[in-house]
Parts: sequence; C-alpha cells; structure tokens
Amino acid sequence: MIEFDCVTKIFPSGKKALSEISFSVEKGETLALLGRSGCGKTSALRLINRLIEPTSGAIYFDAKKLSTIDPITLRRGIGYAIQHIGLFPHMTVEENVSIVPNLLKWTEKKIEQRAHELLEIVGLDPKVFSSRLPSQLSGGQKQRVGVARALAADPPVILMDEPFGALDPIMREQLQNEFLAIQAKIQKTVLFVTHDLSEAVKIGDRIAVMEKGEIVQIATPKELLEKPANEFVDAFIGKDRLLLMMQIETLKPLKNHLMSDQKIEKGPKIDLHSSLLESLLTFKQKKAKNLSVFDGDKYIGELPQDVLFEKLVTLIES
Amino acid sequence: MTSILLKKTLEHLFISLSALLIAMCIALPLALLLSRMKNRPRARIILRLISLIQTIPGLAMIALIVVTLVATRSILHLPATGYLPGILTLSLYGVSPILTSAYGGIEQTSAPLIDVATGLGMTKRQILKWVELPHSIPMIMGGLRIAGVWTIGMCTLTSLVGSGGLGDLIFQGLRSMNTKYLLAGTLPAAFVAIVFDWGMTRFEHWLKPQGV
Repeated sequence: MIEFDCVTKIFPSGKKALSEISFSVEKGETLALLGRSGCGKTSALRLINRLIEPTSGAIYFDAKKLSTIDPITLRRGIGYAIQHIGLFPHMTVEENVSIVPNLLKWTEKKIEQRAHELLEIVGLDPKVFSSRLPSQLSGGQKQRVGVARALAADPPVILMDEPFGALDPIMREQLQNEFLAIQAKIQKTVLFVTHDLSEAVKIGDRIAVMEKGEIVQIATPKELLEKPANEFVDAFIGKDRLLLMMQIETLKPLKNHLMSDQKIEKGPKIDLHSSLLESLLTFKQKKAKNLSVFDGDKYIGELPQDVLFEKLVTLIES
Repeated sequence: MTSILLKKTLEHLFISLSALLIAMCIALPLALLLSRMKNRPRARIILRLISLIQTIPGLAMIALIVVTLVATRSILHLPATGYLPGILTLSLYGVSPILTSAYGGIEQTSAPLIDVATGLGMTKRQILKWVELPHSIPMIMGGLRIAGVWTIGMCTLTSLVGSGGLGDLIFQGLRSMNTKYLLAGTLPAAFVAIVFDWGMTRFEHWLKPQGV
C-alpha cells in the first residue's frame, strides 16, 4: 500500500531527519513508528501526505509514485490525526468532522448522515455532541472527534501522530482499546507514530523502531520483544519486557490446558483473546481461583490459577 | 445652533468614516499580501516602516499633504483645501493600526491548526477563508476600532485645511475664546468616538465566530 524506497529527508536548516529509509506497509496493516522525539518518525509520516517532500528517494502509494499525485487530492484521500488534536475551535463538532466530506463536495444530506455515523462509531452521541464547540469537550472527547475526522471520508490510509499523546493514562488506554475495536471492523492501513513502547506493542501489527533518522528494527511486537535487533532496541524495551510480553500473549495457547470438568465452580468471565496481564489482574481483582474462558459467546472451559502462573514462569525464564 | 451642530457632526462622521474605509481598503489587502510573503523578516520590516507614518505629528502631516497637493497641482489638478486633504491625512493615519493588527491576527493562527488544515487537504485559499480569517476577526476588529477612534479624534484637526467637521466649531471657539463653541465641538466629537467604539464592540461580538 505504501512503500518507502531509500528515502532521505534533509531540512533546509541542514538537519538530517531521515537517512535512506526503506520500508513498506501492507494493506490493512497497522504499522507503529516508534522512537524518541527527534528520531524522524513524524517526518516519515508527514512525507506520506506530502506535508514535506523527500530530499532523495521515492515513496509509492498503491504502486504509484507519490510525487505524481496532486497533493490536495492525495491528502483528501488520507486520514490525518495529530497530537495537538487540531480541532478547529470556531467550528462545531459536526463541522469539524465534516471537513473532508465538504472538501470532496458530498451532498449536504450525505455529509450530515456520515458525521452522525462517525460520532456514533467513536462513542459520542450525535444528538448531544453535534452542535458543541471543541472548547465544550473534555480531552478524551476532543481526541475522539479528532479520530472521527480522520475517518470521515472513509480513506484507505490513516496517519496518526501521537493521537492519544495528550491524554491521561486511563483515558489513553480506553481510547486505544476503542481504536483497536474500530480498526478490527474497518481494517484500514494505519501508520501510527508514538514514543510509547507499550502503545506501539498494543496498537501495531508491526513496529518500526527508529533512531537518528534510521529504522533500527521492523518486526512484530512479539519478535521485537523476543529478539531485539541490537542494543538500542534492547535498551529501549528495557525492564518493561516482561510486562509487555504479558500484554501481547493471549490465553489462546493455554486453550488445551483449560478444564471443562462440570464439578468445578465457574469463575468470572474472561475472553480467550484477553492478554495474560488482563487475566492476572482479573484473578487479583475478583480473588477467584479460576476464570471462565469464553470465545466470543461460546463457553470453552475454566482456567485455573496455576496454569496461568506456570505460563508466566516460562515467560520469565525465556 | 442645533442645526449647525447636527450639520458639523454629520460632516465629521462622513470625513472620518470615508477615511477609515479608505484606510481599510489599503490595509487589509496589504496585510494579506504581507502574510503570504515567504520571507517573514522582510514582511516585518515593511510593517515597521509603514508604522513609522504614525510617528509623524498630526499637524506636520496635514502640512505635508497640503504642500504635496499644491506642488503637484499642475499635474494632478487636485484641490489643496477642503475634504480631500483632510480625508487623505486621516486615511494615512488609519492604515498602520489596521494593517498591524490584521497581519498579527493572520500570523497568530496556531501552526498545528494550519498543519492539520493542510493535512486534511484544504487549499491555501480554503485555509485562509475557513481557518485564518475566522481566527483573525477579533484582531482585525480591534485594529479597526482603534483606527476609528483615532480618526474621529484627529478629524477635529483637519478642519484647519477647510475639510469641515466639528473642528470648525472648536477653532471658532478658540479664536473668539467662546467656551460654548469649544464645548459644542468637543463634546459631540467625544460622544461620536464613544458611540463608535461601543458599536464596533457590539459588531465584533456579533461577527466573531464562537469558540475563538
């Protein structure tokens, strides 16, 4: 869907933001660009909607050379959400969400319909929020509108630059979960810039770790945690490795260890796709001896505490 | 007395408002032009230079304009007394405050907003219309208000070149040491300025988009 071929970006100030990076993003994939501030991740993102132009190298969008596509048309076909939220303060929520459909000259009725649909997707009641101004929203609500606006014209590609960066940890986690749920439904190609490892691990199908304008490693979250390509990546992951592994690993591999004995008392519900961390926390919160595992609506069996513990021990040992 | 007062007040308003209108027609497009300049330091220097007009004393400016009009009379055939030199002086004074505030207003639109507007696929013109101008309205209106109040006050001075207005009454009062005339000129001038200021504030409030 998107391909970078040996792209270098040097700013007029002489600062080299990217040096000869090459990578590609598949259709429907979420790629997290991870790195400290100044590593070039935002520059890589802004190259895609031609807010900046590469100094050398080429970028391809759907196998078409990016420089041959009219920037205005290109941008209207790409969703864009940024950290500073960037809602226009003088426009209502509905007007903000409708910007791109408006630019694309959709009919008024279609625009209104779409705006309401979008607000529902991001969990804001259109009846309540349509006519509000951004100043009348909380941080989390603003961010939701920002995401809705990026999705507005149903673009195949969405660029997100630390979209949840300004939120408190609880709100952030909630929005990440909602984003994952939305993304599971709409399957867009997403490039997601973040400096937060756990966010990258959570959101990304793959993660590109960047440092000093180069991609140090590009891998799935699991590969990244298990086989860091070099010391930099290793250091970046640092002491959070275990916690992150617990976040990535789901209960799925434990499926065969579940007990389906009728005599066992049923515990609190948990989904098969929940992470080990979530399961552990559920055990702790509910003070249960076992959890009832469901695959969607289907009951599968009971997960005893020791099975989870054993799995965690193998994680620690690896 | 009442009829002459009314006549002079209306004349005063006419001169001030036409001068303001002319100043606006010069300043606003100029502000737009300067804000589109790639070279910002140069735009700022131009702005500085134009604001120097403001430092010329009012009386000197009137004299300068009259002298210029007289000197160019053989070519331009413009009257050196009456409405023209008055309105010209006042317009020149009005340009700088309107220009400075309008430029400032367009410039101060936050960079992330412009960035996101560009990223969503707005053209330069659309960004100006939908983002930069709505954000500049308070600043632009502020500039117009200051320029307007200034012009209404200054306008009493331009009666020296025979442009009329409430200045006529004030100078008449000064020459004959007649307090009645002095007040008849001063109070309406002050009143007009206050009403203008109030009206502009209301107008700004009405014009200003919510949330800015």
